[in-house]
Amino acid sequence: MMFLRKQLPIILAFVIGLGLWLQAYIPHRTSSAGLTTFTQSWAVILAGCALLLGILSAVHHHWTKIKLRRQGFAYSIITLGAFVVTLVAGLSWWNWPGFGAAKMADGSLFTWIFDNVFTPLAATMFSLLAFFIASAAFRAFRARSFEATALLIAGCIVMLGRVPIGELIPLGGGHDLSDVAGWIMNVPNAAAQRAILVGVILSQVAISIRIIFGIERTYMGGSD
Amino acid sequence: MHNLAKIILNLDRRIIYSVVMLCVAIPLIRPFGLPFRVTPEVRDGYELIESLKEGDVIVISCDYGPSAEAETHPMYVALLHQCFRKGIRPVILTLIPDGPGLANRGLEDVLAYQDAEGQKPYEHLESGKDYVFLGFKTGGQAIMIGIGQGFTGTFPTDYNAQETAAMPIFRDAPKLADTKCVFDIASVGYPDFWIPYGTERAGIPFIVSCTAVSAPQYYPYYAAGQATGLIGGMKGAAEYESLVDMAAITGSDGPATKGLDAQSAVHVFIILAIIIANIFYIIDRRRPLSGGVA
Repeated sequence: MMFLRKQLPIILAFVIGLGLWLQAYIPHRTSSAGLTTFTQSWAVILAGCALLLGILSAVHHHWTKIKLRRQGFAYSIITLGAFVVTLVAGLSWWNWPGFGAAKMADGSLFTWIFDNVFTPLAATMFSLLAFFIASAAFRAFRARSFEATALLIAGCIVMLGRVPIGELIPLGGGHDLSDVAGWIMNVPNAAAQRAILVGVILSQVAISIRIIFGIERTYMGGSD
Repeated sequence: MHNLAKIILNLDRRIIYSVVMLCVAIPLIRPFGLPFRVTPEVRDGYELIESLKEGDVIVISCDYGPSAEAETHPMYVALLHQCFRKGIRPVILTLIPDGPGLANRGLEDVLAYQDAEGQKPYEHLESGKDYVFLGFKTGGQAIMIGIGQGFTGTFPTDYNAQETAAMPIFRDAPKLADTKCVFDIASVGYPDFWIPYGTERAGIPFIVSCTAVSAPQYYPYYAAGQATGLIGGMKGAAEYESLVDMAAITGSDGPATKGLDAQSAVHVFIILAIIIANIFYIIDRRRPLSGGVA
């Protein structure tokens, strides 16, 4: 049992990690095709399992909340109800009364739910950000220090420069505010983003080496 | 003055929400029609598609859901019009579960589009020959690697459960390297993966279209030439609509162009709110202390 829980994951991580790493340096068709086909099949299978696990975990969480009558359990009833209705609508092979098609085809109940429930709700949630950002900017965006003032000025320039009104604010020499916003995005922003990207990738390399050689074991649950 | 500062700094958030609502609603009801220029990032993406020949195949990855519909969907519709008008054949797919609904709706809308004379210019287009919608498949990067080996192996059937192996579009472009570019319209982080796992391996250009909030993170790819075009947010989509000339195609401005006035008004309001709040913050900070000196 200990072998399955401890040693086997480390052996799998070592063999597959090292194999895929070496494959990138072997420019032969067989190496590329064989390993990418293998990886692709397994990645799709694992991603499908992860999706299923996510669904089961969410259902378990909400079911427990309802069973124990925890605070806000009414929302869990709505969540599970919506989940069951959408699932049945998407899987059912018969035409629901009033709908012209089954499963996920155009005119089906599933499509109706997507167009008339999911789409407006998702768009509303995202749109609320405009209201929250306006209120938060008014309350929290203060020129308390040099860094905060620089961020505030750059933020205001980019906000104005990335909408048409920025092109109506002339700065002399044939330039306007949108040119300054474009420069901020293309030069300081690109430089900072590149630095972040390189840092993230170097960290990924480091963590990959730690996983391949069994130094990093937190992915198995528990501490290393 | 200090009392006024106190009132302003503690302004009821419902007043701010109401002003934001008016800033969005008024320009949508009565547009100002503010002019705008096309940025080089957007023009580069457009010109790459324009440079393609009739019959060329491109991949459109619709990695956005309804939450980002306002910013990303107009771009997808404008791109489909450009492709169909030029005879470019798109292979459409999505890597996120809530992607197929909008991708399919956009495609259906463009195919059913009727011009001012009542003609349907795209009516003759056939699925599997002139375009194909493959739908969603889980796996993300694995799908990108998979279509690098072959489309039909990764997607044995399309969104409408038709077998892909017999489709003429995949006889001409059986794998990613046989297509002319990948155009990723994304509200999630897939452009970061399309470059190493998709386009760089296949040796084809990549164009990214994304929400305004995620656009800054893709500038290094554009600067390095790994992304030929970068279309950020509603402004980028509006610029693309103007290049495609949606006003001439549909008889009115595209949805992104229509939304730009509202976006301008909200941005101006937020900046004014920040300036006003900071002025009163400085006034409030200079308030003499009411208590005695210790």
